[in-house]
Parts: sequence; structure tokens; C-alpha cells
Amino acid sequence: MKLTNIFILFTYILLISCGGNVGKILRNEKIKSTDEFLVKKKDPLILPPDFDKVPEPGSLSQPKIKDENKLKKILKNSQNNSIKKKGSSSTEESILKRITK
Amino acid sequence: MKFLKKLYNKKILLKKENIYLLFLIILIFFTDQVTKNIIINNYSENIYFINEFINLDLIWNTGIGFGLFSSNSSLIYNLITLLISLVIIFLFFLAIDSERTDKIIFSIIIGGALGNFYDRLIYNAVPDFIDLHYNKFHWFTFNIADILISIGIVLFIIRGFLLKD
Repeated sequence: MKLTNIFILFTYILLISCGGNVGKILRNEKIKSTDEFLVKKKDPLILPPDFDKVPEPGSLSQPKIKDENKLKKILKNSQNNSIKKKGSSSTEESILKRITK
Repeated sequence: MKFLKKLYNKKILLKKENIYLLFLIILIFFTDQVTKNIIINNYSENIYFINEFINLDLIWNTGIGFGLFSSNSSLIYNLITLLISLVIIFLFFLAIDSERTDKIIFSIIIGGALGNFYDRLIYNAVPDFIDLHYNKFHWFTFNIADILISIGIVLFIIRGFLLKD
């Protein structure tokens, strides 16, 4: 390279003042974007406050059976009572018949 | 010294050509200063979108071309400023003692260089505001003086090639 060329280049770089955002040029503004290699840490797992109150799996089906049993019991009781009522009524009637005789 | 004596004897400075060139230098200098003042006073706060390729983004450059030697050290800054002043003086002498075409080219370079040199003295930094970009690829932010200096250098190189042929 000739001396004049070096002088021209030297003069040019010295006299112009472009620049300022060299970092921006070198970075290509990628810093502003999201980091594709970033591994985001998840928060540790914590038990919910009402964890003890949460029903266990399959526990919700049992009350139905119990309810059915309860209903059956109630129905049986009502039948017995009606029978008993019927029974009592017949004895009462017989007693009343005897009295009236 | 010989050159200074030659200047004094021939009264080169008072030649019509040189007076015209002085006007050209002053014109370039003031054009640059006016644009810089407009930007500093009106567009200094944010980045202003002009079109897809140009933004106005005011940046203060304390170094030289391409952001080189940008530092907070006053010693480096003053040394660079001194060096620039010497180069400008040298270019002045070259312009005076050259042909008409060269005189015009040197005047364009000197006009731009004086614009940046004045800012270095006044603001201790040069305001750059033209942000040329394509998508996210940004070129170095520059000003009108930089454009004119670049034009002058390119013309000087072209002329060099033409003279060879």
C-alpha cells in the first residue's frame, strides 16, 4: 500500500466522527431480544394449604353406597312401622270389639 | 517555513479561487452546524423514525471515526483533538498549493472536518444523529460533516485513479 493511501485512510478515520453506537452494531441488538438459551427455573413445588381436606381418590363413591344403604334402611323402617301400625290397629280393633261386646 | 514564505510572496491566499473555496468551506461548515443545532434542540430525547432505513438518534462521540478511541480520558481526547487540528492545517496548505479540482475536493473535506472539530472544542464531543439501518443491522451513526468528508475522500480516490489512467 502506498504512503498516500495510508495517509488518506488515516485522515479519513481521524476526521470523520461516525460511531457512538458501536456496541449496538456489534451486538446486532440481540441483547434486547429474549435469550433462546435461557433455562427458566421453576418455583419449588409446595403443598396447597388445604391439602389435608382434599378427598382421597375413590372416597367420593363410598358415600353414595352409604346413602343408598341409608335409604334402604329408611324404607325398611317405614315398612316395618307400617306393618307395626297395621298390627297395632288390628289388636286395638279386637280389644274394642271385646269391650263393645 | 519555506512554504509560508512562498504563500506570503505570491499572495496565494488572496487569489480569487482560494476566496471562493473559503466560501465553500464556510458554507459546508454552517450547513453542518445548522443541522446539528436543529437536532440538538429538537430531537435530542428519543430515537425518531424517519423511514425504514433512517432514524434520527442523537449520540455524542468522543472518539474518532467508527467510534475508535472513545474514552472518558481527557488526555486521549486532547491528543486526538490536537492531531485533528494538525491534519486540518496540513490539508489547508495542500488545498492552497494544489490544482483547481483538488482545491474543491480539499475544501469539501476541510469544511466537514472543521464542523466536527468545532463541536469537539465546544461540546467536547461530536453529535452524530443519522442512524442508517436495514432491519436490525445498523451502520455507525454519522452526521452531515461525515457525509461531506466521505464524499471528499471518495472524489480524491477517484481522481487519483483517473490521473493514473
